[in-house]
Amino acid sequence: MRRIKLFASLAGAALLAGSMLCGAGCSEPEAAGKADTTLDPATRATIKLGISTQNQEGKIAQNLIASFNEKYPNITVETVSMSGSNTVNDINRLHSTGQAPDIFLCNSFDMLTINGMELLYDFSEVIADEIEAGTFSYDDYYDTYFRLGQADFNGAQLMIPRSADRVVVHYDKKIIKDAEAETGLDILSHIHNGWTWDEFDQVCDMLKQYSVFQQPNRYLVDSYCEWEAVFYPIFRHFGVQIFAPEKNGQLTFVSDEAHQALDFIKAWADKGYIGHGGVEANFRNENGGVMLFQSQAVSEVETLLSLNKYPVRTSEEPMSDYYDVVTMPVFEGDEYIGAGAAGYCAYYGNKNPTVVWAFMKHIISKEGQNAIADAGVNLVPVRKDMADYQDPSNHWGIGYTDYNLAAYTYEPDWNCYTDYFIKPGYSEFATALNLKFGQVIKEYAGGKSYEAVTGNLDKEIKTILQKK
Amino acid sequence: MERKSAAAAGGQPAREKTRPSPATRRRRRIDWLTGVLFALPVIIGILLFNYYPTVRALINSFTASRGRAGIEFVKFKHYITALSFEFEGKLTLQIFGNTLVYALVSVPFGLIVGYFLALAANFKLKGISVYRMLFYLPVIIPGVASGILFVRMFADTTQHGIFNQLFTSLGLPEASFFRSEKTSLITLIFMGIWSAGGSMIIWLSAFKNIPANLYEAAKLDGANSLQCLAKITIPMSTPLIFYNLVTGIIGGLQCTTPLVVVGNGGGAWDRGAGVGNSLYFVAVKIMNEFNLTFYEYASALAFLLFFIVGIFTFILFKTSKWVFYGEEEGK
Amino acid sequence: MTQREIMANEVLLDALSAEPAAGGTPRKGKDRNASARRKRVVVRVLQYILLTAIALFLVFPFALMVSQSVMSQEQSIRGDLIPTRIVWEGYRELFAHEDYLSSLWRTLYIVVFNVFAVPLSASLCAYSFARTRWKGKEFVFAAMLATLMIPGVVTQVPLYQLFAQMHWTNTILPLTIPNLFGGGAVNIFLFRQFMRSIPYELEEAAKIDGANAFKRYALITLPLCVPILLFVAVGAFGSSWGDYFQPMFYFTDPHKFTLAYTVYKIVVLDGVKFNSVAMAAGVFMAILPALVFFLLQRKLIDGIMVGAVKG
Repeated sequence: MRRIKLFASLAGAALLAGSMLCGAGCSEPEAAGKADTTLDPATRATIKLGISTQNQEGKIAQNLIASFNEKYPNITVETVSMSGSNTVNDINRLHSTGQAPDIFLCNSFDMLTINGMELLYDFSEVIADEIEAGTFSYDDYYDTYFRLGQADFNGAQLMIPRSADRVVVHYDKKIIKDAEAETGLDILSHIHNGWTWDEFDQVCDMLKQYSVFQQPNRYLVDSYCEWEAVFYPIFRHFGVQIFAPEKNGQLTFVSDEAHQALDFIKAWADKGYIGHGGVEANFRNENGGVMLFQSQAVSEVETLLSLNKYPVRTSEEPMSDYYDVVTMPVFEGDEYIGAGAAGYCAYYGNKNPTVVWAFMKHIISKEGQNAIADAGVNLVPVRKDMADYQDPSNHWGIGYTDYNLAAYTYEPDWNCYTDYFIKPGYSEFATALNLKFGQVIKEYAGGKSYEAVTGNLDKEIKTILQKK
Repeated sequence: MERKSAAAAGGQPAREKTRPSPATRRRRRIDWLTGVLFALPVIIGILLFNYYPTVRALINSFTASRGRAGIEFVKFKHYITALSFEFEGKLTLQIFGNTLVYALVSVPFGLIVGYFLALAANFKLKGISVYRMLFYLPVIIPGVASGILFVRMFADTTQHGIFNQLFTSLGLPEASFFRSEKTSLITLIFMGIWSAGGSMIIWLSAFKNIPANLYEAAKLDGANSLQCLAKITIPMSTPLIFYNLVTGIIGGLQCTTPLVVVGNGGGAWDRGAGVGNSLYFVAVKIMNEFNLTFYEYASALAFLLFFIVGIFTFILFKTSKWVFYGEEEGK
Repeated sequence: MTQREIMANEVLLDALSAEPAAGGTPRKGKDRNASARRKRVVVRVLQYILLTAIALFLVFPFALMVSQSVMSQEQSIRGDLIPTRIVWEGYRELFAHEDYLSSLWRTLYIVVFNVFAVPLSASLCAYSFARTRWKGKEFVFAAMLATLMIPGVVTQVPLYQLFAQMHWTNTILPLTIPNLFGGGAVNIFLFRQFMRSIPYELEEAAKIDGANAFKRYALITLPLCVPILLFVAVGAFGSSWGDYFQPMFYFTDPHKFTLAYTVYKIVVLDGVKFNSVAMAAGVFMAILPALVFFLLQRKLIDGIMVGAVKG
C-alpha cells in the first residue's frame, strides 16, 4: 500500500513539475507598445519572421530580408518555419509555448480567427501617425486588400497585404485553338477582360462541341466553386445575405436567393462544364480542363512547363501561345470579381513594434514588391503605381509581358471581398464557418438536393459556434 | 531521488506482525531498490509521456481557450456538443458506430485470413520462403502510396479501376466500392486481406510452437484434420488469438488509416470521411477538429474514445475464459 | 474453397507429424510405394498452384506500385497496367527534391538509434517485472499496460506542448529520447513473457556465485533473449521508418522532416505533379523493410511465439 502511495505521490510530483514547466513557458507576453514612424538606419535589433514552408515562400522571405537589410543593415531577421497549411494552428501552438514570431504570413480568414484569439498587433495608430506626417496614403494601394486586412473590414489594421490577389480565369489556348480548328467556330475572340457570364457560357458551349470534350469524364472547368473568392461574387449578385446584420447576425443563408445562386453554380455541372460529385477538370495534370479559377499569378506557367504539358511546343514559341489569363466573368451591370488577400500580420506581443512596422512598410514599398517578384512568383503588386507590367522597373511583369496580366488589375472597383463576417463573435470561427459554406456549395454542385445540403446548416453552424 | 525514497520506505516499520530480522529487512530493501531501479525508466516514461499528457488533455476537455483572455472552465459543454442530438450527436453516433464496426469486424477477419495464409505458407515446399515474402509484401507498402493505389484499384471502370474492369469483362455488374455509402466500409474491411501478411506471421509461429506429438497422438486416435484444428490448433493458439484480438481491437478503435486511404475526398470538415461519412472514424474526426483549431472539443472526443476503448478492453478481459494458457502455467 | 483448405490442412498436419523440427527441405524415406509418391507429386503441384494464385492476388498492389513508378504520365492516366516504355521521371524528381536525401539520412539516424534503444530499454524494464520482487510491481505493471488503452490522439497536443517547452520541436529528440524510457508497453510485455519462459536455474547459479542483478540481466538473461530482441528491434525499425503521423506534430521546418513525412509532404500536402513520384517514393520506402523481412523472416517467426503463447 505504501508503495502505491509513493507511486501516487511520484505521479503527483510529475504532474506538478509538468504544470510548473508550463507555467514558466506559457506566461503571457506583454502587449507591444506603439510603433514609431521612423527608424534609425543604424538600429541594431533582431526580429523573427514566421514563413510558410509551402511554395516559394522561403525564397520570398529571403529576398524581402535581403532588400530590407540594404536599408537597415544591423537588423537581423530570423525566419521561423511554420507549416503554412494551417496558420491558425501554428500561431496558437507557438503562442502557447512562447515562441510566436514577431511577423508571420497569414490570409484574411485566418487573420480573423487569430484576431478572435486576440493575438494580433494593431497597426492603426502608427498608420494614422504616418498619414499625419504625410508619409503614407491609403490611396497608393488598392483599397480592397487593405480592407481585407482590417478587423470587420473597416476597423483596426491587423494585416498588411503584400499582393493584389484576385480571381482570374486561366485558360489553355492550345486546346481552344484545337477546338476552333475542328469545329470551325470562333471561340477565342469571346474571351476578353471584362467578359460576362453569358459569354463564358457561350465559350463553354462551343467547346463542348469539340470531340475531346464529348468523351465521358472529360470536363472543361476547374471551378473551385467552394472557394469564397469564386462563390461570393455570385452570391452577392443574387442578393444572398449570409448573416443578417439587422437580426443580430443571425444566419440567413438559407433563402430563395441562395437557392438561385447555388443553381447558377450547379448549372455548370448540369451542362457538363464541371463534373458531378466534385470531379474537377484537372486543368493542370490531365489534358482535359480548359480553365481554372485561381488567383495565383503566372507562376502557374512554371507549373505547366514543368509538367511538360505542351511537349510539342518548340522552345522558340512563346508560352503565351499556349496559355493565358483573363478576368473572372461578371454579371453585366452588376460587376463583382472575387478578391482575397494574403499578407503579413504581427504578433501582439512582438518585441520591437517600430522595427516590425519598418519591415511592413518595406514589404509594401516598391523595392519590397520587386523583391517579392524577384523570387519568381510574380505576385501582383498591391501598389497602384506598379500596375504597368510592361514597364521593366516593375519586376512582376518581367518575362511575362506577352500575357494578359492586366486581368489582375482591370477595373479594381469591381473587387468584391468577403465581408460577410461582420458580427463580432463570429469572426473567431471565420475559418471554420467559411469551410462549411464551401462544403455546402460543393455538395450541391455535386448533385445533392437543396434540402440535403441546407437542411442541417442552421444546426451545423450552431454546433460550430458551440465548439469553443 | 531514488535513494531518498528507498530510505523513506526502509525507515518505516513493516506491516508484518512479527518484525523480521534486520538482515531480512535489509535484503528486502535491496530487492525493492533493485526492482525499482530496473523499472525506473518505464515508471518515469509512463508518467511523463502517457499519464501527464492524458491528465492535461482531460483538463483541457473541460475548458475553452479564449486566447489572451485566458482559459475558461466550461464544464461538460464539449461533451454535450458531441453527444446531444441538438448539436452533433447524430454524427458522433455514426462515427463511433463506424469505428466499432470496423474494429470488431476487421480484426477477427484479418486473423481468419491470416490463418488461411499461414496454412498455405506452411507447406513444406522448396522456395516457400519466397512465397512468404510475397504474401508479406503488401504489408510494407508505405501508407502514402497505399492510399493512391487502393483508391485507384477500387475506382469505377471509367476511372480505370482494375477490379471493375475485371468485373465488367466477366459480365458482372460494376461494384461501387468507395463510391457508395453502403459498400465503402465493407471495401475497407475487405482491404484487410492485403495486410493479413502480418497475422500470417503470427500464425506461423503459433503452428511452430504447437508440439508435434499432440497431432501424432490425435492421428493415432483417428482424428481428422478438422478435429485437429478444433481440438488442438485453435485451443493451443488461444493466448495468441486473445493477445491479437486485444491489441488489434484497441488499435482498430484508434484507427486513422482511412484518412490516407480516402484522404482525397472531402474538405477540411470531413477529410477522410468517405461518402456520406461512411468511413468517418473517431480518430480521423479528432484530427479534423484539431486542425480546425477546436482543440478542447477534440480532447473531449478523444476521451469519449478512451472510454469506449476502456469498455471493450474490460469486456475482452472479462470474457477471456476461453483462453487456454496450458496446464503447467499456474499463476 | 473449404475442400482446398481441408486438403491444405491435411498436408500441414502431415508435415508436422513427420518432421517436428520443421525444416525447409522436403522429407524423404517415408514413401513406400509409387502411388503414394505420385499422390505426393500431385499434391505438391496443387500446392504450388494455390500458392502462386494467392501470391499473384496479394502482390498485385505492390506490382502496380512498381509498374506505376516507371510509367509515363499519359499511361498512368489511361489506367494502363504495364509501362510500354520505362520512364525514370518519378525517381529523378524524387531524388532531385531538396529535402529528400537529407531526410533519408536523418531517418536512418533515428532508426538506428531506436533499433538499439527500444529493445534494450524494454528488456531492462521487463527484467524488473519478470525477475525481481518488489512491492508495487504488479501495480506498476498494470499501470503500464493500461497506457495501451490511451488513444494516441489524446496525448498528442499536451505532448507537443511538453516537447515545445523543452525546445525539442524540429529536432529528432521527440522521436528518439522517449524510447529510452521503456520502449513501449507492448514490448515490455513481450520481453517479460519471454523472460519468464527462460529457466530460472541459470540465474540462481549466478546469484550464488555472487553476480549482482545487473550482471545477471546483462550476462545471462539478455543473451538468451536474442529472438525477442530481434523481433522487437525489427518492430522498432518498422515503426520509426514509416511513421509520418508523429512527425506531423513535431516538425514544422521541412528541411528537418523525416523521410516518411517528407514523402507525405511531397505527395499529399504539396500535391504531387506526377503519379510516378508518389509511386517511386513508395517503392523506395518499401525496399528496406522488404530486405529486413526477407533476411530475418525465420528468426522473426521464432520471436513472435513468445509472449502471447504463454500467458
